[in-house]
Amino acid sequence: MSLLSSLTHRLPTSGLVLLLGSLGCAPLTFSNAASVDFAAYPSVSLELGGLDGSERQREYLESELREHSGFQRVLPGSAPASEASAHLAVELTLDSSDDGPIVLFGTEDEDEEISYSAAVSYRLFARDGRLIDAGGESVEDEQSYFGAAESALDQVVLHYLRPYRL
Amino acid sequence: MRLSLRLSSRITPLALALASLLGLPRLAHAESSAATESTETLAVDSETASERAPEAVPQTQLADRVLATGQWFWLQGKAMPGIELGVGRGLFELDLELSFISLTERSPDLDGSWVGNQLGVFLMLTPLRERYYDVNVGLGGDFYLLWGIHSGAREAALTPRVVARIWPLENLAVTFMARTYLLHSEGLDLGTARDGGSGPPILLSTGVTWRFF
Repeated sequence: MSLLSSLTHRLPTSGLVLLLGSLGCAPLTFSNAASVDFAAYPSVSLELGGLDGSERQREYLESELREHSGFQRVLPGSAPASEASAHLAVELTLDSSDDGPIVLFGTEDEDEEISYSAAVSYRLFARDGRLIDAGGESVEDEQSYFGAAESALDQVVLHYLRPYRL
Repeated sequence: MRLSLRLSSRITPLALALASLLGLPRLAHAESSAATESTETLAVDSETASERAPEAVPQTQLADRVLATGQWFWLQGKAMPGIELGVGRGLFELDLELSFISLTERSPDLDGSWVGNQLGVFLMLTPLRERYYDVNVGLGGDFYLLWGIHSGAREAALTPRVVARIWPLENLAVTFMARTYLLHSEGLDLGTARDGGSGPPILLSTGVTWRFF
């Protein structure tokens, strides 16, 4: 009787252990498919234009693409065309909720009242001028001018993120 | 000194007597559906019990229990420890999870091993809740913020989840969780390994839960 009672008490625990054992560790994979054939276009020259493209933002985008994109080499737009297998042209436009001119460095009170938005469009050309890829992204409700610009440029980096399977 | 404990009518007289002897007021743990259940009062004349058991369960307007869990997700090739905060009242419980993901096997696709964070938000129902165990089922979302890849890399999934807790001690439980992904974003795949192999599409985690009240 005591054995039966003991078994009855142990069954749920045993079942749980068996269930856990049979299932074991699950595979969970994070992956990203390449947006372009990075093997065919391993290097890219970068040009940032548009109404609000600046040298600082070009440097930011170049740095981010170099670190995170699937391109093995990222060259400035001034590099000879023969050095890059593709050319990426990005246009950046910024706007603010304030009707006045965009404030680069405002007081905290001013920044709280004003929100910034940004839009980017990008086109990737092969060396022969053929359009390989194109798209656009936008961000809104950013707290600063530079924050809006960098968030929009991050969308370009995210689009050309290196493929992974982790 | 008299100590009054509100106890669910489902609890047997034997368990009540045992609980009163042991000074376990948290049999009120099983009073979750108190709104619909009749209650009875047990008077315990024991100095010892009153010293060991604080007056009833300190309840707030919003919650009758607050739980914190440290847990480990059983994943192939990844380490994923996490914490969970649960706030419940009656049949309902809101659970918030934060976990940390890193690779245990090197990958050429990632510099280093840090992958990112998982955030989970779940609304749970507690159909079974007794002194020594409870079972919760619910629905929520798993959100993966893959900082280690890129600040903008994110994945998400719609997640049904089952949680079973065993309470060997009044405030301490061993917790078992199982979840699967009903809908998920393109870059998230539970049940498929990095090399394309398949496995169970159920993510298990085990942990230890502390009940604050």
